[in-house]
Amino acid sequence: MLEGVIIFLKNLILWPPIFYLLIAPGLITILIALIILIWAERKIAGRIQMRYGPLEISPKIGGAIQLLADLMRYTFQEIIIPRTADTLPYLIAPIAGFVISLLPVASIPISPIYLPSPMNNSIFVALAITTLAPIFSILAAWASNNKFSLIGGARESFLIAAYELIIILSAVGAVIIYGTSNFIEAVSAQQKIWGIIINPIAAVAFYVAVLMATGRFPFDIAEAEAEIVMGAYTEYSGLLYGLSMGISYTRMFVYNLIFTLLFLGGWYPLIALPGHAFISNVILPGTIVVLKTIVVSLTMVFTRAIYGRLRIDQALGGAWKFWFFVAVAGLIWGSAFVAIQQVI
Amino acid sequence: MGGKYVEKSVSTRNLSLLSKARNHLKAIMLGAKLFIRPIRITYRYPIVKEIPQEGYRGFIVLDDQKCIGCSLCARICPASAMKMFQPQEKKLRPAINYERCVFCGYCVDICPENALKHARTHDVVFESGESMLYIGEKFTVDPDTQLLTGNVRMYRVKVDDKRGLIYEPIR
Ligand code: SF4
Ligand code: SF4
Repeated sequence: MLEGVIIFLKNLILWPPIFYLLIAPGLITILIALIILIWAERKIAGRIQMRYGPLEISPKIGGAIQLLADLMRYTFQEIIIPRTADTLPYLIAPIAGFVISLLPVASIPISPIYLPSPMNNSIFVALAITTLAPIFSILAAWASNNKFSLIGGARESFLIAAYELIIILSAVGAVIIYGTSNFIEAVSAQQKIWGIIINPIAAVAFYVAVLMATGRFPFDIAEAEAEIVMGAYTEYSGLLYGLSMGISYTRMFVYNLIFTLLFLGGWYPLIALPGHAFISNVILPGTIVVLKTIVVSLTMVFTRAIYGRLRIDQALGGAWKFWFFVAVAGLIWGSAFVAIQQVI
Repeated sequence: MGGKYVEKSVSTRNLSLLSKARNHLKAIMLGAKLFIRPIRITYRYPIVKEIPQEGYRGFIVLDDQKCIGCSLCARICPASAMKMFQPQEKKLRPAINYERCVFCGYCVDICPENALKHARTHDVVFESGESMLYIGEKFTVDPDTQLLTGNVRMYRVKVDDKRGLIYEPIR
């Protein structure tokens, strides 16, 4: 009886959709990555700006569990709902935003064999789902009925229009080269040489667009603290604030998963250990992918320390007048690369 | 129209693509340099303590032997922190209330017998209002004797040509 329950639980957890959404690269991995990333962000910014950064809470390990303390505080804080807010959307927006920013994981494989859901267009499905989350930040802005929130929401909507096209165009620039819109085949095409070497233009455009999409510096225009408090999430407190703060980091992590699979060779160099199939087929490639993702994310949080904030017109101008064309150039370079290969 | 700074801020907007890229690269390199070899201008206060230079205007110490009880210090005090008291069978002696003192140093300056002097201590935690009144015996104790004790690392501020303020460990 007990054995049966244990086997059932084991099978349930190892069932790919559950494993992907709950363990890796889903909820648990993202929470751990969140803790590492936010701590690293504050620590790096502290180092570069000639201070210490978080330290007091655990001086021996450099304040690494600061975020746990913060999370604890958010969890038990009172949630204040303004009387003028539209209650239902106000409550739904951060929760749905967080869940949906996690959802692209459902089509992003982290191992060549063990898939969340077998599909042939997984790159496009993942990119399509990543475009959903900002809608909820605009919903939050609208529902909180606050000037700062509205301005933040409006800025967010401008930015979406600017970066989304760049992300998709530069992803297409990679897809053209691999000739497939399936993550597994795209990664196996990079076994010898990584995508970032074949098409650096698209990779750079993708990277900058992700900076823009997830509100990293110098593009944190929608949440500019000095100008509009916290943008769309000004009115939030307690757990809802914690969730809404996690949204941008979760989105960054998910975008970087896509970046890793498209440009950084995914789970290559694949190390196969003799022994249990689960270890060499899921845990090792998964670790490689997640490590690459965290390294890319670390370079993104590094920008907080060295950049100021652009104005909205500068960011939009840069996106439409420069990065858009860079993305198109990446697309053209990808097509040219394929054409040259066929001629040879 | 405009001045040097207006022109400068306008001219930075017309940078060529190459110089923009170079500036980005410079910023990243500077960030990386500071990340690898950090220069910190803050210090962990209760664990690490900064020792002020000689001549720092900290707490005030009375030399009971020198004082002649002339009351000049009490009269000059702009914050009415210094007051005269008369212990039993003795001459007038000043007492100081650190709740009011602004550490201006007038009392030290005016004392004709050099009976008052500044200590270097300036950060003391008081648990009650009464304990901020230094009277009699308490006023004559130099708080600097406790400055160099305890389990803290001592640092001294120095001005460095390249790095600005630096903290130099002295013990
Ligand atoms: S330092 Fe200034 S304020 Fe303090 S007791 Fe002396 S005269 Fe008064
Ligand atoms: S001025 Fe000097 S000598 Fe006169 S009462 Fe004050 S401490 Fe004593």
